[in-house]
Amino acid sequence: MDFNILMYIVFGVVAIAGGLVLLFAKHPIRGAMGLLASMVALAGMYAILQAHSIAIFQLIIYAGAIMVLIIYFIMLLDIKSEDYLKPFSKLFWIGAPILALLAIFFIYKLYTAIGGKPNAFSDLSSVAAPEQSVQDFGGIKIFSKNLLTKYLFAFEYVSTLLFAAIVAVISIVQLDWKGRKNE
Amino acid sequence: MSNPLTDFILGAGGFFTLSIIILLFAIGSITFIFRRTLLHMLMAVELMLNAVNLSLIYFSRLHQNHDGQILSLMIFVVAACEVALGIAIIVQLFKRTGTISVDAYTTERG
Repeated sequence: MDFNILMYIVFGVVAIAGGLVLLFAKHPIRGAMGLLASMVALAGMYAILQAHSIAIFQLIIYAGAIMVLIIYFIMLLDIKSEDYLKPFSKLFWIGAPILALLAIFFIYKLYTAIGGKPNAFSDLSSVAAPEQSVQDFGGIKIFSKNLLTKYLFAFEYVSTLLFAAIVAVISIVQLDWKGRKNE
Repeated sequence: MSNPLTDFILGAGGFFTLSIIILLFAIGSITFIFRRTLLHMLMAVELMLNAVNLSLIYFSRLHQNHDGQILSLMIFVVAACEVALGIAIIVQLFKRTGTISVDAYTTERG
């Protein structure tokens, strides 16, 4: 078996395992580590799927910035352990099997939709004409060219969203500061 | 199509990848609904966004089209905004109530 295929399957299994650690770990730092493992495994899957720039962004933004923010938040709050003694709600053992059955049903429907043929997706891919060869796909050059020409409006729009989020966070923090000053 | 990796991704890897996406989204939604702390709910939303990102990347590879990659970059930015705002709000709630357990927030129950 090809090494890339083997690593793709291993990364997929690690992503699922990280999600399960997030679900079942009692302490939040273990759940954060499971989420981090899931994100790094997904970055590897992106790299094998030839989305190289997205894989780098996944490592920098998700596994770097966002996870550091969450871990810093866990460290900052110093939460009492009573919050974590009962990790699940009372309906967990009723509701979680129902949702798991729903997921298994979706996978079964997917399996019957492709008719049990493993090559059904390659038929789907032949519908779209490839614009360039497979080697050129997903590089940083064509990615940034697309981002700054065809999707320039979305780029600017999302940067406006980022600016609005910064203003909102500052106003939330300042609200607390004014409240404390009045006390 | 002589490359075995390309054969795998366009063939049997599609079912594998879509199964991974469905399972990750299901685990994220179970965590969001049944874990009773705000922190785990925030991390579960991140997990679900990651599952959606994987589907975008996979289908952009399948169709040899870059639109999915750009859209997943937009989802990164939205996730960063959501985490920053969510953590600020949770810190405020923790300062007011002293807990992040969802069961403790009963003032709007009526």
